[in-house]
Amino acid sequence: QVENVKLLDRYTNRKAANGTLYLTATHLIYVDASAEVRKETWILHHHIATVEKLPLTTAGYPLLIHCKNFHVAHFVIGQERDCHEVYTSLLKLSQPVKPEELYAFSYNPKMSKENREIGWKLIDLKVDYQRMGIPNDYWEITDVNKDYEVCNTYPPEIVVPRAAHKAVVIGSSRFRSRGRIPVLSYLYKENNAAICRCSQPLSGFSARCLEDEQMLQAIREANPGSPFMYVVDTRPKLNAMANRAAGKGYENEDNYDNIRFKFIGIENIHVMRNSLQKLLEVCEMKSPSMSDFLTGLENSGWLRHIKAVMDAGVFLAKAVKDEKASVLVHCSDGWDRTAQVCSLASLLLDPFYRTFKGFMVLIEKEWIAMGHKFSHRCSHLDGDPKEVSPVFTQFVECVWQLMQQFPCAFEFNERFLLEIHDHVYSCQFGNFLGTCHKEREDLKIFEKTHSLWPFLLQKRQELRNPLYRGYTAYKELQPNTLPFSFQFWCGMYNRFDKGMHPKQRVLDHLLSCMSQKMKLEDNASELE
Amino acid sequence: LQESLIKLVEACNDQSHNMDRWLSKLEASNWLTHIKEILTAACLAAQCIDREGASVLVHGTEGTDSTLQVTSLAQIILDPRCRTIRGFESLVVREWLQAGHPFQQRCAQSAYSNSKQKWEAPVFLLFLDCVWQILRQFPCSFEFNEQFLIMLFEHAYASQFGTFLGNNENERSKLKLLQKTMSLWSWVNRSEELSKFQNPLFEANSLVIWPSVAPQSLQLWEGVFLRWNRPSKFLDEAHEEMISIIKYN
Repeated sequence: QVENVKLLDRYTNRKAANGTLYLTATHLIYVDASAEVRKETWILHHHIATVEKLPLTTAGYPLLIHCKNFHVAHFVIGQERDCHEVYTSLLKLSQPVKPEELYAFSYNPKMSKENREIGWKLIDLKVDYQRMGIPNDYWEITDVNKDYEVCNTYPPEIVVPRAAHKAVVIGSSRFRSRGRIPVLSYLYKENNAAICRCSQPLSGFSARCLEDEQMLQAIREANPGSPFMYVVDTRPKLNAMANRAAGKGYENEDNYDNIRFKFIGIENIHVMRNSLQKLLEVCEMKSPSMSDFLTGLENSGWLRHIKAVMDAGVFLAKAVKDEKASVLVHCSDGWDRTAQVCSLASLLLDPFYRTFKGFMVLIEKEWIAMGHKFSHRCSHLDGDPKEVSPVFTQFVECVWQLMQQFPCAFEFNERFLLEIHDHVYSCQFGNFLGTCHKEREDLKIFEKTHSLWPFLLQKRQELRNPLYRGYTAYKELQPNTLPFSFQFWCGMYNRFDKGMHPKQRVLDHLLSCMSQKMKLEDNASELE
Repeated sequence: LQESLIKLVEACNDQSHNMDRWLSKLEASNWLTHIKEILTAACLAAQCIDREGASVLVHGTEGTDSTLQVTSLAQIILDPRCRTIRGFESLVVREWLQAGHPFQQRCAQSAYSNSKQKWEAPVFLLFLDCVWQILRQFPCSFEFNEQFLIMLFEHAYASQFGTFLGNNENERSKLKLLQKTMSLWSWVNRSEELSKFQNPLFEANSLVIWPSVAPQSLQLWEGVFLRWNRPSKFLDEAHEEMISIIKYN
């Protein structure tokens, strides 16, 4: 507990009141009891990205905290010793070393053992495959990976073409980076076109693999309505070519029958990390002019990357729906750009994924089960800073951009997205811990932690979209991706700068109208 | 200012899928910079009155352009009556028509025209854009909606009504507009027309409303500048949903 601490924001400066800072096992809490209304600011230790000591000012010893959810807290502490103690404590608390130190293992809400277990069973991927009609004549759920022998970053159950026998699967796994063979992501029942995903082939300059070629053939033939299939490499051509020198690379159209190969050119995790860094610098500018802001936004490249991801998702959706062709997508390892693009395309094609349940299924399938390295990308533990990258953040933003263009098409609202994003970094729930299913089993996540999804569903009244027109109102979404269609997401990147947001929120007004309506309806039915 | 509008329109019509070029052109047009500057000046004038109780004299060069933007916006900030439909109409009549904003000159050609005449400038459009920015930030504080503002923009440039003809009251009386033309307000204020322009979220209040002029808070007015570049179907459906939720209540 530290007294005499000021919390500055971009508007107040010297006039900030004195408050008290508390450090608990899980949170930093700042209490300002000076005004009539007691104001508390809570920061989860896991959310803290960096803590810096700034140069001494007349007001005291400043401490600047940057959070992974873009909250920036600028404290000024009266005494140097206090400041230093808070600084060193926060450094330690915000960078756990062992997984067991993560909040999820100590988080203990009042819940029965059964309910906790039921919570984990809420989302069942098999049910989604059934919804797609699988298993069917062409596709089956195989347990060939049940002991992670084929690929240790894939889940134990994967969907492959029925025609791809075990030998083909094993052979292909030896020809794909990290054994990440082509598997089904989404089947468009209406025309049998499929979206599949994998990692880059270990082709180098000239290597071939019969089984991998057979695997692609099986995928193509699982869609008899189309003479060809697309193979999409989401990397820029130059990067993919450079990979060839390392014995990896991309598919040669000459070696694979009836494929059309295409580069889509989304930049890599390092470029994205730097882009976000620049964007946040723009967001933190004290009193920028319009020019400063727009130039800064342009220089960060952030919206350019968002557009690139969106364009890729749109390409996939169009190929499946309009051209009726199956698409196989990969990047390098098939767990970053591939995840973004496949989940986005599914969302564009299928209204189910725009419901609460559907969106949870989408994240569990394309991100969690398929091995997006949440732990590394979100820096849950002290690790390699070069592995950190806002890949999931970009996906969430693409969903938000779609919500701006299609305000009636989603069952949930912006807050739902922000809550999910917060919890990807909070480590309060076990869903996003580790890097793949096998690791989660090893850490005993399903026995020792809670699932995020029941927690969010309980709050669905505040997280719903009052303008949602229902499941059947829109089938596929065809967003405009001209540059002017993309807006700056103030609610995410300047979320905690209350002054910048509309003072009256249409969303809140409508939600309160709807909850009033529900109360009246309840009263009316009671009276009956 | 005309230059600014021309550049903005050109940027909006650029079909190349190049994000950097879009942002660069948007910035170079300076349109949003003008918005920010005028809103900042209006807030300053309003602050003098509200916080210090001091009177404010505003002037520019001729007192017919930015002066009117600042005085009318300051009133919108301070006075809830200006945010009602009748109040806003009176504001336009008082602060723009009677004050002598030279509509005939400023709105002489199409807003998208490429040839430039030196007395032409989208001053009134900039004012309406500023009102829209405030409306967006305080969606429950205005009796009228975005369509109302767009309608005024259209009629300032080309109209079957005589309201915006001429450059000042002197010219209007010489042109015998009262006898020879119909007033826009008489049409707008008929209940079947008015219903299109009403804001379902409006809740009368007596607040002074201070808009944020941070760049993040100001947006491109898509309803005007991207009106023909993208379908409004999904946004219209959202508007219908909103109306039905509120009506049901």
